[in-house]
Amino acid sequence: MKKKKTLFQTVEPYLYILPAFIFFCLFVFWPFGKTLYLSLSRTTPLGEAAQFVGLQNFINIFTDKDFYNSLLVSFEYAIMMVVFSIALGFILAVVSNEKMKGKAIFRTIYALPMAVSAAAASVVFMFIFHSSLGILNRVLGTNIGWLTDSKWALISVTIVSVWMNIGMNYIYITAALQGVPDDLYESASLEGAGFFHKHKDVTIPCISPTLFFLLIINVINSLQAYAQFKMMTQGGPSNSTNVIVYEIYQEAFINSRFGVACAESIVLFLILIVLTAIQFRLEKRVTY
Amino acid sequence: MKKRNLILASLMAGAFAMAVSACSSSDSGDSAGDTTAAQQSEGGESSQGSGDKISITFWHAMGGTNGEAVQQLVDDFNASQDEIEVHAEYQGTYDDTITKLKAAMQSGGFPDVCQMYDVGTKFMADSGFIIPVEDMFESTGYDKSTVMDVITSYYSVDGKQYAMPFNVSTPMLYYNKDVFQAAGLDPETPPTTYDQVLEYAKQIVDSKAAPVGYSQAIYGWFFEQQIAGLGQYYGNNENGRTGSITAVDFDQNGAGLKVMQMWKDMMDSGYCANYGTTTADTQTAFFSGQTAMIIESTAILKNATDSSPFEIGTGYLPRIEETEDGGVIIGGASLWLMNTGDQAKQDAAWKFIEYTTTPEAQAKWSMSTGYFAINPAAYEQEDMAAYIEENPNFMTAINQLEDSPVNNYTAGVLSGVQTESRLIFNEIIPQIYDGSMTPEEGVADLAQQVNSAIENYNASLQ
Repeated sequence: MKKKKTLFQTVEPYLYILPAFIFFCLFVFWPFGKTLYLSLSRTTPLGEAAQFVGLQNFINIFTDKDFYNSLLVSFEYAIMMVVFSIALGFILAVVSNEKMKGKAIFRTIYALPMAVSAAAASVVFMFIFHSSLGILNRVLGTNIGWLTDSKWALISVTIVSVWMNIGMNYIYITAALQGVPDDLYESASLEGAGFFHKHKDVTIPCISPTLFFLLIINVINSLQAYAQFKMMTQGGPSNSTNVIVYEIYQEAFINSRFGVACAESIVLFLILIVLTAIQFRLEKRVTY
Repeated sequence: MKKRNLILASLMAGAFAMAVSACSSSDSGDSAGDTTAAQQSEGGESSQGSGDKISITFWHAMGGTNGEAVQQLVDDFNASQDEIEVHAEYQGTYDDTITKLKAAMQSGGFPDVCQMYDVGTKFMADSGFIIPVEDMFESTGYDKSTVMDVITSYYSVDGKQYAMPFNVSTPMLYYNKDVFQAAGLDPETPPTTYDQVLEYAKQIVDSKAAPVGYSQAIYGWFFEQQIAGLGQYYGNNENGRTGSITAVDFDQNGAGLKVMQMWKDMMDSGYCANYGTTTADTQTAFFSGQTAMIIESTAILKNATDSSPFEIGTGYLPRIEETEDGGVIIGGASLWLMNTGDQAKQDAAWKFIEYTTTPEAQAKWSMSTGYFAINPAAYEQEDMAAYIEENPNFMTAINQLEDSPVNNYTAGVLSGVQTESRLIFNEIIPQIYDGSMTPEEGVADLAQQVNSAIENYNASLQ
């Protein structure tokens, strides 16, 4: 019993999405198409396509050890970021969720790093990390080049980024904790669960959709990190902090090889798609 | 429900990704530049109302004290005549400036005059958006010999001057006179070769006058300097001066290996230390008394003598070997006349550029920044002569430049990929220092990477 639609009825839904579609075309699809086109070209120093080179840019990046290094550094960074910033955000949220005095003050303090821009935080931490003038070496009595030693640079930048990122994770987890029903805790207590068990078996399962959401956001954020690397290390020393987005920036705006940079962005894009797909698969298993 | 979560999550992911990229593009340098630019253009509008002056824009990359000196220079020019009004606009660092200029070249709205750093010379010359300044010399009867040859040679291609040198510097040796005294060295005779530097460093460390004898930042410019000091070419076609560079030369002529081997030996001696690629870190080590000798640009001389807690001595840049043809290369930046297509503005812009070379302007510029005066007549200006008398270290810099022969070794490398070459250098040197690469491997690796960048650059321009 299907009624035949009038022409208007067929067109109508498309009209509704037209404004959004135009917006997306202008700011997402068109740049994406251009990126794809440039990734197949050799470009002039001004970023215009000079010659069509097929997949040569992709062949170049996949035969370049620096690119693999960038991927590796990015993943190391992302893993450290995800683990530490979610774990610390979780711990702080649970602790400040207990009934105690001055709770609001602690909540504000823990969430505060969110309000600081990445560039400003980087500048402050550069002073802290400075090898001869910095307070960190003074306090620890060490003489470590936090940002100039290739063994430490990535860790140092990660510390700053974790600090900047905790605030967001903290707020989401705190909000999720409000939604955990009190009777679950009560019955857990009745059955003799201690602090640790209560959170492991009640809190975490209850807030797992939020944790999962944070996992995705943190991975995507970390793989796109740029400002702190640009400010603090410029990818050095010896490429030890040359994350993928900084590598793209460097190829495009310093080395003027926009074609290669576009090819690298496309690889990053594919990686993010695959990661997100895997995570959505996993979600079905972890969510209660 | 789950479906909705999914869509929500991906939307949020998108929003965050956008927020991140938005944050990253607003770095502090830019915003400082924007405020200055805004202030400038405001000032410009008010004065534009007063008559029908030709208004030209001048982009520069000088912040802090040097930025004030630029503004002073522009104000002096504006006051010196009543036909042209120059608006100086600070664009951030050199790298910010070239990035913005590239964008402006594509979308329009580039300035009439632009300051560009030394390594951007080849890019500018190849860009098709500039007018070589030499084409304008006749229009005002400008005498090419006004500026020292050793300086203009850097900005010349095939003998034709493309840009007007503006802020000019060379590297030289800075040493701590107090430490020299304490170590029993003559504070008036600095070392001139690397072998001597090492000898001095040993004596300084052994006598416990300072913890470290000598340091130098990891900086590609110093590598280019040492190759020029050896009287050799960095790139073929005589450093790109007789035709575009098609490959590097330092791996063929042996100069690259000599330099890297020397530096490796110094670092291995235990009397020298490496403070990384940030030149400011090496300076900090020097000014805090950690290290007794460093090499640095002459551009920091004014700041150094003003703020150092000890007496500073200066000497020529140490060489690996004394050679007949070797010398120092200038660094810094130059002024480019942009091809805006507006004849009146171009003529006005050239008049401004010409003004910057006058002895009065140069003397003032040099005294307030520490850069060289490119016009030797400036040193005969009364206040400049008095200034040099008071600051004998300034003489070291001038003498070193005058002692450098004018040839294509000391003209410096004219390459479209020199920024990148220096970055590649920054990656390789630490690996030589820590022993994960031999100097031979380092030279080969550097040459191979720079050659492929050059090949790509040349191909993209065909």
